[in-house]
Amino acid sequence: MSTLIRVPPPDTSRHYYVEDDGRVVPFYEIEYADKKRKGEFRPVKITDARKHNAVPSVNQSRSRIRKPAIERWRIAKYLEEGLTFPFGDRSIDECIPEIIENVDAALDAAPSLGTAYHAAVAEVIMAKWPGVSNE
Amino acid sequence: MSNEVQLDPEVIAAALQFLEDWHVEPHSVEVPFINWGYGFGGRIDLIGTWFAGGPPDLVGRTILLDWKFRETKPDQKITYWPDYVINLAGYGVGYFDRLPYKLLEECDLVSVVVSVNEPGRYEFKVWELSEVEQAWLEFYADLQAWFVAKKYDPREGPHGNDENDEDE
Repeated sequence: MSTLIRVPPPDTSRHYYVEDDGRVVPFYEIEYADKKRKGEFRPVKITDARKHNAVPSVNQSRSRIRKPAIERWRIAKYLEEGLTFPFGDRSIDECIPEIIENVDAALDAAPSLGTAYHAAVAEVIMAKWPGVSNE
Repeated sequence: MSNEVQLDPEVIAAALQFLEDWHVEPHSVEVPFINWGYGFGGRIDLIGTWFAGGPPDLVGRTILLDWKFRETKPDQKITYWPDYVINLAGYGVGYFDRLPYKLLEECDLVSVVVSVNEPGRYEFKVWELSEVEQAWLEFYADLQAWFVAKKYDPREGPHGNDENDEDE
């Protein structure tokens, strides 16, 4: 049995925070200035952060740092897929784009899954312990 | 692209099981904060208290918890990556506005790894002061490098200046 849950866009771990009426809120999307794209949103850029006096998140402020463990993990995922891929009669060159695509899709999904579990667990805790807040 | 993912209730149950097994009473979850003195923000997964029945030497102390939902390998020990404690050090110092040596007098920084492929498996680590101190130094250095590289220091904006004025 599984539960379906809607999650924020991928890679929202690298974002900013702003104060809005004294409340701290995450800041990862902003509406396009172009009137033709009213109602559409794009990721926050550093120029937006400056304009809104936003602070970087813990993850954002570490985004420039190489993370060898994560790099090794990503390489291992590509190797695993390559070594178990059903090549059939196709050559390695023919299959490489599909192998990369498969792994990219899985890696893109990983942060979303973590975000979704975080949200779900928080929701269950707040239901189970009524005094628990998220402020 | 769909923003929907399938969640396994047993994984969620394992996270709750940690709280029950180790007698953690949650006070708040998904807590956003900004520390204008240091110029960064974050969102803490859970703040609570170890209560009677929890680890004997930790009962009564505050717990600042970071969930890690990830794949594990059966019969293999879980690796706690340095990134885990670096992020936790940022959260702890940022939220409580205390340096590690002061912070850890009353509070524990805890990573809880919940397996997404081995139903019911969880493990946790309470980080030592020496690990948190090293992690905070690394985080602080990364943060300063970010300010320089981005040519932007939020502490120089209106909010940061307010805080500086109060300090004077």
